[in-house]
Amino acid sequence: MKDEAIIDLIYEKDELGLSKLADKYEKLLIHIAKSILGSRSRDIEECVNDTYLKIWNHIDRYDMERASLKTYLKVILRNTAINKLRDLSRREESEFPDDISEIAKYYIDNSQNVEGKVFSKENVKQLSNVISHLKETDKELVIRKYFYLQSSKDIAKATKMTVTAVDSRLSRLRTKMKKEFEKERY
Amino acid sequence: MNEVLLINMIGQLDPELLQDNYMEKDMKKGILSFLGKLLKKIAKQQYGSSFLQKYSNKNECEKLIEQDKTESDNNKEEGENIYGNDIVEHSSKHITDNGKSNYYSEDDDNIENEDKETYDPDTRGLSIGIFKKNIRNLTKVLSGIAATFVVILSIIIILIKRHKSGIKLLKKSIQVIY
Repeated sequence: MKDEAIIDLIYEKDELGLSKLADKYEKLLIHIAKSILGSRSRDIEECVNDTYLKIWNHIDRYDMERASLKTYLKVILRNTAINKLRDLSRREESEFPDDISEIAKYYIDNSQNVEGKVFSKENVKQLSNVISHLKETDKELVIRKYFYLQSSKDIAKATKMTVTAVDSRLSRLRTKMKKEFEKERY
Repeated sequence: MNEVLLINMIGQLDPELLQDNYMEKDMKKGILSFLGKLLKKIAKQQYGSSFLQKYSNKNECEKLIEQDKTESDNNKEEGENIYGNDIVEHSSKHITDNGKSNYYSEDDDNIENEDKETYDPDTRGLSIGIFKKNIRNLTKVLSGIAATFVVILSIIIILIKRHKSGIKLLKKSIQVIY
């Protein structure tokens, strides 16, 4: 079924649309949630179901011209998974699975330090400007690491690079992005 | 740039920027690798089953051998019972001093060996396996044939060249004589 038809069905609050959406994108959503949350199957399931619920409730906000339904779903799922990670950081003595990526662990440990920091729309725009001007391979590294929270090992595997090469390139990219961000600011 | 801040900010980026298909690629790769693993598993299982087949064939062969042995023993006993002492007496006449029977000639030994060969568990039921091996070795055999063909061809060429140069030398010597 085409995305348009699925959206129409969800607009009409027809549950068939939701089941068709699940048929089409569930595997992808589970894959993304798994890369962020590790093997926490219950959290993954919750995350995917929350994504469906958000789409069901806020389908009127979806703008077809800006991005595809798949991209929207990915963004919603990613942010839901990040919220789940933040919840984990609040829960004391919670045990993290071993297969969770190092960046996700780092996020759990340090998310409370930046909690409550509100970014202005301008800041986000500046960052999107910086990212859009990156090379395609650099952009891939940044998105994989900081959007999907993939481990350096997985990124290295996907991009056919070594883990050290990925880490060193990302650190260089961060400094470069910081400089560009500062430039855009002033 | 602070990594945690970056993670938080990147989630608020415009969806237009995030129209990637990295995860889809990973998924496809994952499926491919999964299929590869599955194929390997299937291959292993097949190998295992063929091994089991061989093993069962071996057992069947052994059973057959045992059956034949018991049947032959029974027949012997029956024969003894039917013909009784006459045959025993007759056969005892042909037994030499060494305890060897004259009834059994070399031909009989050969026949026995042939029977053994047909009941040999190593050769029975494994023809398919050998055939498979032959197919595997087919490329090796073909490459070997090709290599020998090349060697023979090169030898022939060398011989022809030498022969030609010999003819030339002969011509030269003839010219010198003249």
